[in-house]
Order: sequence, then structure tokens, then C-alpha cells
Amino acid sequence: MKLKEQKSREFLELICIVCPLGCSLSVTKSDDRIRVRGGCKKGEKYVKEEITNPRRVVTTTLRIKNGVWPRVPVRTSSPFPRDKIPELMKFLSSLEVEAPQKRGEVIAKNLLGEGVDLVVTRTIERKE
Amino acid sequence: MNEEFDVIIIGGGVVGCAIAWYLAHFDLQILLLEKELDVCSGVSKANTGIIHSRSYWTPHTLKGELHLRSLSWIEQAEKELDIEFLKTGALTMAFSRDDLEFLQTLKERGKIEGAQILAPREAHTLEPMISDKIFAAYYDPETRVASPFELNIALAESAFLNGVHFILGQEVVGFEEEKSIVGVLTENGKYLSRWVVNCAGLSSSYLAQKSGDNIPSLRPLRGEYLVLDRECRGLVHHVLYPVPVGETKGILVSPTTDGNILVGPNLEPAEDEDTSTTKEGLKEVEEGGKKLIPSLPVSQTIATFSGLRPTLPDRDFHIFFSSRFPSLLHLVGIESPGLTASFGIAEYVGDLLHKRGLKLRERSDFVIRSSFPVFRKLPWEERERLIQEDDNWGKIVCRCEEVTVAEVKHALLSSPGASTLDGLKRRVRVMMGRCQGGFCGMRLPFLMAETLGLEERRIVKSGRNSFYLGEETKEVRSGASLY
Amino acid sequence: MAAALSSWEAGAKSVFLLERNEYLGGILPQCIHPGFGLQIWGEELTGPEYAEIFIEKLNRTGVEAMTDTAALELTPERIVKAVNPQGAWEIKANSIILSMGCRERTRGMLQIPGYRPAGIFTAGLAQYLVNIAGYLPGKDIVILGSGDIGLIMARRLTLEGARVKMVVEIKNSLSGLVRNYVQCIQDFNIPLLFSHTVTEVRGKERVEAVVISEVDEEGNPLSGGEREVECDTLLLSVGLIPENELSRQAKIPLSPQTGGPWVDEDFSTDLEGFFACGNVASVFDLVDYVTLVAERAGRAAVLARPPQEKHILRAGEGVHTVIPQRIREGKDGFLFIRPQKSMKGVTVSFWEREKIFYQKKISICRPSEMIKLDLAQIPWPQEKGEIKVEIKGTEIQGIS
Repeated sequence: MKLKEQKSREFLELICIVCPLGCSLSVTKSDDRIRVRGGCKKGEKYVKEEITNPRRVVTTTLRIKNGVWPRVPVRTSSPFPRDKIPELMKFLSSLEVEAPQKRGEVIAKNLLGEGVDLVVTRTIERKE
Repeated sequence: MNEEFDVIIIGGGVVGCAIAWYLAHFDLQILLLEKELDVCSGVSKANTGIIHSRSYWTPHTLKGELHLRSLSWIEQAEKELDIEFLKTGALTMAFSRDDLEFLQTLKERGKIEGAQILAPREAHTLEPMISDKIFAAYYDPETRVASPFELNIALAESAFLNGVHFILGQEVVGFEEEKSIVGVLTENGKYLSRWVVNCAGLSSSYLAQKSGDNIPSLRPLRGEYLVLDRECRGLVHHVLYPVPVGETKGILVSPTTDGNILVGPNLEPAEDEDTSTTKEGLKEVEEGGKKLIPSLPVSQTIATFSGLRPTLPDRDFHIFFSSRFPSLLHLVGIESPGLTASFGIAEYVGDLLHKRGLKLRERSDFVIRSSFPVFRKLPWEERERLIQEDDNWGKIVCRCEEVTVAEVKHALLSSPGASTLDGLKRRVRVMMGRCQGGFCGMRLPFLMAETLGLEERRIVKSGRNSFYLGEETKEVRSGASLY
Repeated sequence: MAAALSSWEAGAKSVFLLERNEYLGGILPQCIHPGFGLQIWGEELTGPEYAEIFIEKLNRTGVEAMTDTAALELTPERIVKAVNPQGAWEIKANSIILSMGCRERTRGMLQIPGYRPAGIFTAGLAQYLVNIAGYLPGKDIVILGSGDIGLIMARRLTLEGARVKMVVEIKNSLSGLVRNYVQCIQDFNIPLLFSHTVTEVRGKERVEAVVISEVDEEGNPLSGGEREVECDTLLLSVGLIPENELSRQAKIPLSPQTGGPWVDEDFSTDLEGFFACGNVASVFDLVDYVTLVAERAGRAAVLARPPQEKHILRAGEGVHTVIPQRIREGKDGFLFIRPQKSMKGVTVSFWEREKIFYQKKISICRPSEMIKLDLAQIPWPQEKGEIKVEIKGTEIQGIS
């Protein structure tokens, strides 16, 4: 019984980024729960999320046609699943948008079905 | 190319362009072939830029003779090229009684009015920042400083203006006999000429060997340099020489025509064409500089570079006709004072060719070159006037050196114009300031591509493969791998 | 922009904003990553968004924003000479606010030996090329310096399909934020080598490799600790230098510690009528702090307080820089202290005449994050004199 329990346990060390302390937290992950040692309550919450559902705000640029600049910077409207970011980048490299684009405009909705949109972060005027 | 030239010059360094400029005074069809993408890309772009005075000529040598000859050309060159050498004068510093003999030799060799050997106190009055340890100093009012690129490019532009053809980016690989004509072979084809001058600097010996002549290979001796920020302007006013140890003029500290301070060169053997800088070499240059100026502000270094001296064992110029091709003239071993002697060399080459049969009919329509305005040096009224004429004068692209779009465009569209970033650098000083291209590097490749009608990705720094930009972003590619 | 806005709001009759780029915002439009505005608005914006908010605010005022306008000369009498495509300009002002920012430390300044091939970029230049112009600087990249700009570019380049082979840091601790270490380095499994530096560049026309070397505490290469790393690009993230060429022309006294003018809590320089805010005064980490400082300078430039005696602050043990370095009354405003090292269990001490008159304890401090203190909380001595600021604590090595 004990051996089985040990096999399904994972030991990790994560750096917490919630505050400047940057504590190193020890995590024991088993089938039914995650135990965190070495940090505070906020840190525990962060680490649990990092392990079960790590997400990142993605910022990048897209090709823009007929704009005064050749690229328009964009951001995801909220954090996007970290492990799907390579797929997202591949999708975004195929997107080309047309000038003008205004800051705040939603340029693509529900990226890869994750419920996260793509928002323009810089107004690019149309080239005369 | 079917056209037959009177003279083909191989090498677009200061010597090649000086020869082109000199011969352009006569009624001749001249072609200059340069291996790299621009003139002034070899030895000529990496040296101290000093027009050494008569004090420094070396008797009993060809290089000494041509040095002296060249000095008599300075006024005419300045006028015809519309450039100005900075007459800074020089101080040669002795640190012991033994060195005094060398100073005496300089004085005797130079026989220059106003030149004298100074006591330390007098030397300090001229140059407050020099070392306290000096024993004496030789003051020479005739030494001048040139911008090596400005001179080389001005010579090329003047030559072009007066009919010389330039082909850049083609390397000469051999020679062929065609009766009384020489066939000059490059990767792209053959050029025919009655007379050929090989002044290919670091490749000159190799080319001479290609023509079947017995000349030792060059043994390049490298010299490294430190360039100090223009903030240091005023640190020294004269060219400072040490009393040399061995076969070199030593590590100098010199003001430049643009307000920087140049320190160097040292002397070290180098592999073929190895113009890298080294930790030890730069340290040596720093120490050499500090010997002359103990408070040398090395923290104000903005750039380092190195140059190669194309030296032969006897350290003299070797200018001789090929034994196999009687109308092919080789110039090998043109190291210091190559820049200083360039006009003298050009005249000498003309004389040699003339003696063998080249007809020199002087033209009456030789055009004086007019240098393009330099925004940084212009008074404000002139700046305003130019901007109203062409608003590109109001767009500063390099703020460290205050260079405008108008000047960059002209440098790209002039002849022979810049086709590389380094070529632009040498014509208008962009990327030479304290940010070393950190800001103007954002604009220049795009301005170049637009003006020359090139693809942005094809813009190079200097060599054919020195591409500046990588791929465009958002080409379809596989995604990044994450943790 | 923040200074211009606050000058206008404080009642200035005419405000000219001179910008040499063709767009406003300085470095912000190319900083497409989030992290701006958290402190002052509680929102995490990207650089271009932050800049545009100010541009929009500016458009609603009478501030004359002149882009494509390069200021070339500045005199102590507050005359600016500038050029733009419309002509050459001479502007005399009652107050001059300096906000020219920084330039980056270059390869030449570090004297890194080797050839001078294409492919060597400062991180800021590479950031412009990627984010504004749409070009990668290269394909196989080595980054020198673990400061935030280097870390952020490591992520950016990787996301765009380049291969960042490693980040090399000469110190034995992280230069940038821990958050950036996790999200830019760890996320992408990019090797980060402490106590290493680049000792040679190889490749004649384009970078072909760099030589990295292990170094000692002083940054000197250890023999036998060298190896070659193949790459086609070297990115330098090795420090920012406040751009004070114009300040020098105007003979404004500069601090050798910050590289910028000596300033008081209004960000007024030692020369009357001249103010300096943002990176030109001292390298800041957060644009939020720059905004606070700039707003204050903008107001002060209009109110034009008469000269008075001030406390002189000096950076003591453990302190890299402190700004402002002069305190008039210390009734309001902020003090920003940059520590020399990463430390925990930190005590910041204020000394006057060999005695500590104020101490503040903080759990952690890092060179990449300025410590911000409220001036009002510090019991400044009545008599003006020299004050030494010190930081003591337990050093942290590595990441944390």
C-alpha cells in the first residue's frame, strides 16, 4: 500500500512571484491533493494554480497591412493556458490584420477556444 | 567587358584612390577594381590617420623618399579634394637622457622652422595633461591629422568625378597575357588594360605571386586601438608620440578630426587577415597611452578596433614591375607612412609608368571636388536655410553625431556611394558616436533599403555576408517549446 | 508627457514638448509586455497602452508636442535650439524639464575583444527591431546580462521562434525581477549562467560564436573556465546610462553616482529653472515611479520656488544610488533608494552627524527594485546638513 502511494507522488520546487520575497516553495503533489511548504497563504494559492492551471498573459505583435508601422502589438485579454502558448503563437503567425487598428479593439475572440480574446495595444494609423 | 583601359588599379584603399585621383589629371581611361563592397575597407580604414611631418621620414628607404615627396602635395590635395587636414603639431616625448638622442635626430631630419626640443616645463605648457616623468619633448608644428576615411573617400569621389570607373565587390584572382595588354581576371570576367597597378594592400603580395613574381609573403603586424568619447576633446591638442622602442612609431595618443581621442597602435603578429582585438592588446594600448597621459580616461572608451600593417621583412615599400608582365606594377609592403605618402606614391607610380611608355597628357578640365555639407559643423542660419530647401536636413537620424537624413541619402546616392552600413559610417559618421548605433541602428537599415531600393534583409554591415537583420517576425514557424 | 501635462494643469501658459522620434512615448511603444501602471492605477498595462493614455490626455490640452524634433543645444539661460523638418528652432523658456532618458552600454565600452561582425545588438535596439520593425536580430542568440531588458527579450525572441541559447550574468545573483526569471527564463528552459561573462566575439562578417568564461567575485575571468558557444547574435543587456549631453552643455551639475543631475524633492536641479525627471536623472525601474516624479517636476516648474538651503543626501554602505539627493523640507514627495545587493532582513538607516535619526526595516531588497519611501515619514533634522543613507542586511545569492 505504502509503495503505491509513493509512486503517485511528485516533488517540485517552485519560486513564488507574488511579492518581491521570491520564496522557494516545496510542493508535494499526489493524486488527490497538493501540499505546499515554505510560503504564505498568497504564495500557496499561486503555487497551486501554477501546478494545476498555469496561465500567462501573452503579448506579441501581428503583421498589419497598410499601416504606418509593419507590426501592431497585441495582448491576450486575460491569462492564457501556458502549455497551449506554442499553439497560440503558431495560430497568431498566420493572422494578418488591416490598418487602421485602435488600442483596445478586440481583434480575435475566444483564442483556441480558451475563452480569451486578443486585444490591440497600440493604435496604428493607415498609411497614406 | 570589351572595353580596353589605359590603366587598371587594383585596390580602393588610400593608395589606390590616390593613384586614381592623380592619373585622373591626365587624359586616360582608368578602372579601379576593389575586392570589398566599398573603398577604404582594408588597411586604409584602420590606422591612426596621421600625416607625419618631415621629422619622421626614414632616410635610405623608398618609403622615406615618397614620404617627403608626398608632403609637397598637401596644399594641392586639400584644395582639389575640399578637405582640411588638422595641423595639430606633435610632441615626441623622451623619458630618459638616452631618448634625447632620438629627439635630436628628429630635429635634424625635419629641419622644420619652429621645431624645437623642449624642457618638461615648456612641454607641460603646451600639453598640461602629459606625464610628469618626461625628460624632454620634441615639438614639431608641421604634423597633421587626417580622417583616414574622409581622405580615402574624397580621393575616390574626385577620381570618379574626373572619369575614373569604379567596380566594387570584385576580387582579382589572376592575370593573363594578351600581347601588349594585360588581362585582369576576376570571378566575374576579364578586364583588359595596357597598364595595371597592383596596390591591393594585404593582398598585394599574393597577387604579385599570382603574376609569377618572386616576392616574400606579407607578414601582417596588427595594431589595436581605443577610441575615446568626444567628451574628452581638449584632453590633448597635439599628436603625442613616445620615443619608439623597436621598429614602430609606438603607441600614440592623438586627437582626431572629429573630436575623439585615438590611442594606439601596439604591435603584435597576427594571422592572415585577423583584425580582431584582444584583451592583452587592448591592455597594452591602454598602458602605452597612460605612459604619455597618466590620467587617460579609459572609462570613456566608446569603441575599439584593430588594423593590420602589410609588412615585408625589410619594412620598406617595394614598388616594382612584374618580371612576367612588363606593364604590371606591384606595390607591396605599403605600411606606415602609407597614408602620409599616398600622394607621393601616386606621383611616383605615374612617373614609373610614364618612363615605360604611358602617355600623360594633362587635362584642362579637371574638376575640383566639392565636399557635401556636414550638418554638425554648420551655423544655425545655414541649417535653417537647408531645411527650407529640403526638409531631410531637419531630420536627425544619428543624434550622437548630429547627422541628418539628407546627408545619409547623399552618401548612399553619391559615387562611389555607400552600399553598406560601414560605408555609411565612414562617409557621414553615423554609428560612430557614443551609442555606437544603438539609436540610429533602428532607422538606418530601413532608410538604406528605401533609398537604394533594396530588400531590408539584404542590408549588410560590411562584408557580403554581414547581414544586419534576421528573419521577419510572424513568418509561419513552429511554436516555441515551453517548460 | 506626464511632466508636460502636470505643468499645463498647474497653469503654465505655454508648454512645448520636444521629442526626437516621430512618435511620442519614448521607449514605451516598444515595451509591448505588461507591467506598467500597477502602482498608480492598479492595472497591468503594456507599454504602448500606458503611453497612449498620456498621448490622449495631452491631446486634450494646449501642450504643443513637437515630434521629429531633436534638441541639439541647451544653454544655462534656458535657451533650447532644436531642428525638425519645419526648420531650426530657438526657444527660450522660464523652465526647462529634462526627460531625455537613457542610452545603453555598448560592446565598445566593455571592450569585449574579437572581431566586429554584424549581429551584436543592445537589448533595446533588438526590442525595437522585433516589436516595431518586425525583424528578429538573428536566430541563435546569446544574451549578456540578466537585467529585466535581457530577460524580457529572452522570452520575446523565443516566442518569435528564435533560439535563445543562454543568458550570461557576470554577478552571482539575478539582476532583474524574480517574476521575470520565472516567466522569461524558467518557462522556456533557457540556461542562465551566473558568474560568467562573454570574453570574445568570433565571426568576421556575422557573429559565429562567443566565448564565455567563468569569473571570480571581481568579474575577472578564471583560467580554464572558458568555452565557445555557437550563435549568430549577441544581445547586450549590460546597463543604462542617463543621457545628459544637453545637461552638460547647460552646465547643470551632475552626480557621478546616478549619472544625472543632482535634484531635490521637486526634481529641480542645482541650476535654477532646470528640472530633471525619469531616467535622465537616475535609472528607474517602474514607469509608475517615473510618472509620479515627472508630475511633481511639472508642477514645480510652474510654481518656481525660490532657492533655499537643503539637506544633502549621500549614498552610504549598501546603497547604490539615492534620488533625490537634496531635501528642502521633506514634507511631501518620495525618496527612491537603490540597494547595491540582494539582501533580506534589511534595515535602512539615516545618519546625521554620526547618529542614526531614522530607521526602516524591510524584509527584502534587490538591486532591480528601488525602495520607495515617503519623505513625510522621515523626521528630517531642523538644521540643514549632510545626511548619509545606509542599507544593511543578509546577502542573498542566486535567485532567492
